[in-house]
Amino acid sequence: MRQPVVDIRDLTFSYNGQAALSGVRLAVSQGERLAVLGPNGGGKTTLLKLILGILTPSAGSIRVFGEEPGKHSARIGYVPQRLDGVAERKDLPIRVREVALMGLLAPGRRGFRYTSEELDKAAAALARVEMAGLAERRFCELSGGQKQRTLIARALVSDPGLLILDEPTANIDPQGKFCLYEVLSRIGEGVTSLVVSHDLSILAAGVTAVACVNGRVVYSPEPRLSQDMLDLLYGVHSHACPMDAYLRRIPPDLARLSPLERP
Amino acid sequence: MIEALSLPFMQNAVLAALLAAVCCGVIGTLVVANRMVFLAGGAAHAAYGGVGLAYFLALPVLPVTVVFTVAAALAMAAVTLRRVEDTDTVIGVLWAAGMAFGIILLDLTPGYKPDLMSYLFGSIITVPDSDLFALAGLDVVLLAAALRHYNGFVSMAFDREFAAVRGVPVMFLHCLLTALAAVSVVLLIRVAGLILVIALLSVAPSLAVRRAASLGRAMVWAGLLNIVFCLSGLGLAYAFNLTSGAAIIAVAAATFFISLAPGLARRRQGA
Repeated sequence: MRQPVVDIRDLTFSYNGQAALSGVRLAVSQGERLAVLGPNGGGKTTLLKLILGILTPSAGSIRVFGEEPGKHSARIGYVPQRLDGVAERKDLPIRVREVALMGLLAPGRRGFRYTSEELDKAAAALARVEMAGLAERRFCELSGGQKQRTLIARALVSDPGLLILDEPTANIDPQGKFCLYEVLSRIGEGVTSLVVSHDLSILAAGVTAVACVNGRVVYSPEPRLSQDMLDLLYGVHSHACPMDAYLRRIPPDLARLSPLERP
Repeated sequence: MIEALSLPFMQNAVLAALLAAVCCGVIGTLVVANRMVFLAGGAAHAAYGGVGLAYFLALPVLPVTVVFTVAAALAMAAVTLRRVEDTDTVIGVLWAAGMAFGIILLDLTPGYKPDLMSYLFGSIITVPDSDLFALAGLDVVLLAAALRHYNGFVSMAFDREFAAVRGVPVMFLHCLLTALAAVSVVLLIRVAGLILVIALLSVAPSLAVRRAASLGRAMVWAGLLNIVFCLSGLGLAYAFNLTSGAAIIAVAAATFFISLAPGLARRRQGA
């Protein structure tokens, strides 16, 4: 049996003595597209930061490509939830091409020039997200959707084996969302992707889903999220906006949901 | 003004202005891009503590002030890295405490005491050759550091968390930038004074980053703007017998506010 790309066992993480995650078990196979859904404060972003090595577990273990988090940064593409206000800053003179090239940074890199091969990779990554024509534009002058696509290009530029996206649909309009889903659905088959979101329409990108609620990861017993699961995730609000209403808005060719095969 | 350039003290003043402009263009742009202007201001004021300590212990002023200021700046950098929500408060306290510490130590020092007001505005027209060499050396170090770590500094300014995930040594670069800013502040205070240092570190870089296409070009523009500010200010100071540091700041501030006018006019039209 092949080793999972991400293998989490009995993971616990506490902030100031309060458990944000407890007893989490999760295995993500190569090529799998997994969405971790759940309400705000459920521990989704904390889980991603632990996988990325930004945070350290209080107990349990995490293996990414068979090693401790942080050892394989070159094989991971990451799209963060927000940019600490950078996205709103009008005074940062950084071009779209430079942002894409940041995905090629590595430990020990020095100097200020990129090789022609690296520049070609950045151009190709921007082309994949239809941003090639805006490569010389300042990032701060872009729309929300264009910014998000640039950040996805930054994550894809190193041809990652694992793509991690934290709330990729936050702050973008519906058109930008479906453009994002198209990009995600076109990512190569060998790439494992892990998406954290509280936006159920992310399922349009053809992902399977688990839920992260109150610091625990919960698996759906059905091929797609059921109404019961929605109730667990979002409480009374899900009755007002049921799952079918989301899926009806999704183009049929993008709404392929794989069955969940979970322990 | 041209005949003034034949005077040795004016030649030194112009050279000091050019060297300070390059230094502030490079380090100021990185400081502004990384939103560390308040931290640089804190380091500049904490430098008073170093001056007071040097006089109290009867030690050479420059090395003691450099060590003291870098230590204070690194303490502030540690705070900004770890406790984001209290950063402004803690830097503000360290800023005030550094100044108070310096003044108390000077009060306790017997004999000759320097005029602390001279540290506020400096005296660019009395710069000795030794300070010019020190500034030239600082410019070389800053340019080398900026070239060597350019991509790291850019990625850190844009998205610190992503840079760390990619293996960029964010903590090292943050501390390096803080230490370089602190050393620059100490050397420039002797030449230009505390207030002029803060103006040169913040006004021209903030104008440059708003227009430039990249951080590297912003450094060049900020350096050129600082040269224009310094030479215009020196010219005004010579022509109207004004304090040189204050005249330079007046030119920089006037340019800054004039640059805001088109944006304000557009906003008013839009409203």
